[in-house]
Amino acid sequence: MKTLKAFWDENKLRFISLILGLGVWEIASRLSSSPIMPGPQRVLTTLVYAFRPEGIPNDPEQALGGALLSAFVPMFVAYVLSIITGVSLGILMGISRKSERLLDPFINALYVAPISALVPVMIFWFGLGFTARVLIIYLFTVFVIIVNTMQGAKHTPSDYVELARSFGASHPYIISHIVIPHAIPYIMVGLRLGIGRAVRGVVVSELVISVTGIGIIVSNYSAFFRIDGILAVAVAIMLVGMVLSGLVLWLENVIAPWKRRGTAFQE
Amino acid sequence: MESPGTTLISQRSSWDQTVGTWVKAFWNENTLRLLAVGSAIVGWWTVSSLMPVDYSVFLPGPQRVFATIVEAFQTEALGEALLGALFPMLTGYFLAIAVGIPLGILMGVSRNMERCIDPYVNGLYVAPLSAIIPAMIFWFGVGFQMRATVAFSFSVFFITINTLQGTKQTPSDFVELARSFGASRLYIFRRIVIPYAIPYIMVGLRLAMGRAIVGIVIAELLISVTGIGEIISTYSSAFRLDGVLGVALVIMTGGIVLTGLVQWLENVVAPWKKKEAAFEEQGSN
Repeated sequence: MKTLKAFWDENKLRFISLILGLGVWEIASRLSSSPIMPGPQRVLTTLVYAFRPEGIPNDPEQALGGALLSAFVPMFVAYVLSIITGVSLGILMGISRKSERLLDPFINALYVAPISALVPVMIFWFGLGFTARVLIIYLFTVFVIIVNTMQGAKHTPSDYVELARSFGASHPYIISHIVIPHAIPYIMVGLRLGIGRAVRGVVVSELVISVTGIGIIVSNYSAFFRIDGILAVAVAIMLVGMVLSGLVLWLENVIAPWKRRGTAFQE
Repeated sequence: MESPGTTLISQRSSWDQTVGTWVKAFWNENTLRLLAVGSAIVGWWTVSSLMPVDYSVFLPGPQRVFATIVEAFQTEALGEALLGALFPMLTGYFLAIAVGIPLGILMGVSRNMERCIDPYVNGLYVAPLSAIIPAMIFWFGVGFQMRATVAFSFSVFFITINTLQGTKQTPSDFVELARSFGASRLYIFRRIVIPYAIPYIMVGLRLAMGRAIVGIVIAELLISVTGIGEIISTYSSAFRLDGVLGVALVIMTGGIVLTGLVQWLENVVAPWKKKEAAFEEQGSN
């Protein structure tokens, strides 16, 4: 009861502000009655309808549910691939100064550069299918995982490593028992930032490759001037994205509950 | 006591020494990096020149790509298209600064304000804005206004959230100390809260620059009737990977340079607290 009251006190203003905002949006869109200014009620109705094939103009093969599923399969594959390669490369670069120097010009450049610019190149090489999508999403996610893993491995306190070494621990032992455990919270942050980027990668690849799935649904809505449909798809992706980041955040709390402070707000 | 002449000489030789050590340090630090980049380019060139002619379209060599970039600037008006992307992007970015920083500070100093605004800020922060670009095309057309809006909406929440964090993290000791000496709210705000928030704001500005670039690139890709998008689709329908790759490399280099500029500005404006701020960017602690 007490927690409920605390929750209400904390969030009262948020609810009021949200309801006010949505109300203003709804009223404004009804007053303007322009087709390019759909209100929240309209967007939600469209979202519900979009899960049936007949709810989408031009009759695509899939409804929104199927399109979301088929978009998130390449994402899952790319995410797992980037975890495997990203964590191993990050550890390698964290423990060996030489390999860091050999690789970091490329990794830093691609980490900062807008990956979306490579989408046409990927389409040129791999067509419009599964491979191109996986690779685009992979490029979106892998660098943030590498960079975070490397930070974690690099900042392993040298005291621990020296202590282990003076007791005769082998290199593999030090890596598996000291470096990797120390890097885990950093890796988890990388994974969390990575899932956000993966969702962005899905959206970009789907929009640019607009021949199947979400892309064709959005372009069908565009062709019929259905802004409500475009916004509904965006809301659906946002919900899926929030669930996925929530899952990774939960996993982060389970796997690395220590050292969580101050990690909540970037990117 | 030394004569002026020897001082000059010893100064100069020490200066020479400094330069010498600096060059040496740079070399030690960067040999492997230069080697890696150099061998990547040589490897690319070798593989592409060994490619059978039928497949060479899939991997043009670096010299081909470079020549095509030069050609694109001369004949395809790539320069014009880049400027046509840059101006709306900067407009959107500066608008985002003008809105994002005050909004973040407002939220940071008033708990109630924060509660009223943060559902929107956080919601739009996680929203897949690129999915809304097709709607923005309906609202704002395909010209300057739309591109500026994309850059603005991609970048503003990064600035707001970082400013908010910086403002909120002002140590209460400082504020209480100032208050107990009778400082006014305005004074505390100007002399403590804002200076404390500056490194955070700068991190926000840097991340926001990256986001604005991403936004404008996606907008350009989706609007294939003008600007960079048009050049890319001309090249890809002519099946010229050298052109597609060249444009991509130019855009990516531009993105790296712009982000680097903001990073440099960050080091100039807020050289203190660099370590912590940099950490936050990695999102790790």
